[in-house]
Amino acid sequence: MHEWALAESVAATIRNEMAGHSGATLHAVNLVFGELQNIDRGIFEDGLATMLDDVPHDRDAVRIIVEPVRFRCNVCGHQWGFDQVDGLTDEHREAIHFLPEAAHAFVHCPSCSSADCQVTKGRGITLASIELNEPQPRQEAQ
Amino acid sequence: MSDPRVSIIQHRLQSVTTILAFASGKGGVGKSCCSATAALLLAKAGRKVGLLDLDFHGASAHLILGIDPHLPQEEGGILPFEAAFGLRYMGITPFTGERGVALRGDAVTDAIRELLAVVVWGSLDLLVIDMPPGIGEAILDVSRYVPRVRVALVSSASTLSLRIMERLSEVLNAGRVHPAGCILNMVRDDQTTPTPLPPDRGLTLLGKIPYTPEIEDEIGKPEELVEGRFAAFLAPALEALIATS
Repeated sequence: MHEWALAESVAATIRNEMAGHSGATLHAVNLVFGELQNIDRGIFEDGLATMLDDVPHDRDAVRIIVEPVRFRCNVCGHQWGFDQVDGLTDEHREAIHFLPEAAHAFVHCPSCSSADCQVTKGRGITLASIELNEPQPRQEAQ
Repeated sequence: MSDPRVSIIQHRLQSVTTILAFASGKGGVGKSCCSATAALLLAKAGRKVGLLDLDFHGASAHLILGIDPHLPQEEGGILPFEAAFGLRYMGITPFTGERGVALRGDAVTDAIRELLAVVVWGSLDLLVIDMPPGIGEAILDVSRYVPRVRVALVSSASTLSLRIMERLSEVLNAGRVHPAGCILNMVRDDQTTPTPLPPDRGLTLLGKIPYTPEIEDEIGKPEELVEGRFAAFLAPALEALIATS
């Protein structure tokens, strides 16, 4: 599934981060899923768990929040959410799931009908932070 | 906040031996015809080849290949489409169809990162990238994210096109992506071709392609395209380009 490719990118980022922290374990990875891409959370989490199988991590280390999408019209300044987008077919939604920028072919400003819009929030996957448990320094023998 | 997709791009392209991007300063110089025909010629010769169309505003590689791409299949990522001679294709068209896409700068970068991160090309001898014209997000992002990319510059023989190509070459050199050379297209028989660039710029002329109006009849017919006059003139330039790798 396409979610596995995204999970692979997160796993690679975590490994890169941990490579610079010898002996650390993963405390948390905080991810933001944009509503626009509609990532299947279950498939993503399964994929990431498989890819991080050999990485020592805390229980419930993967934390995901979903950010609602906001569009803004570059012409009239109107702002709106996904619930105000009309006329999307299942095929359009699937296309946007694969490539969120496909939305620019289907979404027009509901106020002035311009196609010149931008996604200001809630596009796709973002890694907010990675938190590590650093190894405790050894106590000097008394 | 960081973008995790960037971490996987090199891994995604690690089984691609050679990456060739066809770029230009100005539009309308035949860049898409060069890149699609080059990809077809290489695939016809038995190489495993991919063609990535990053010209989102003017996507046309699929038209040259004669395919009507729809939503792609998934298997650990997004799978490219198979075109003539086993050529693998991907671009924005499978997601947008023939609609115009109003994309501004950051969205272009996002779409490029997404495609580079999630398209599973598999093992390829060559990946050919059809770039949009100009010194914009696409060429800057490809220079930044695509490892080992070799850029062929395409220009008409007009003074204007050549001057803009020179500017693009300077930007690429500043980013340490040294252009592999240039291809002059649509050269008229009676045209005295100016030297593409001063020799001290280090940009070599890979080949010249005369004005070949018959290519219009070969669009969408890849079997005819690779046998046509345009392909015959492009082939030695392509060999020269690959020899620089």
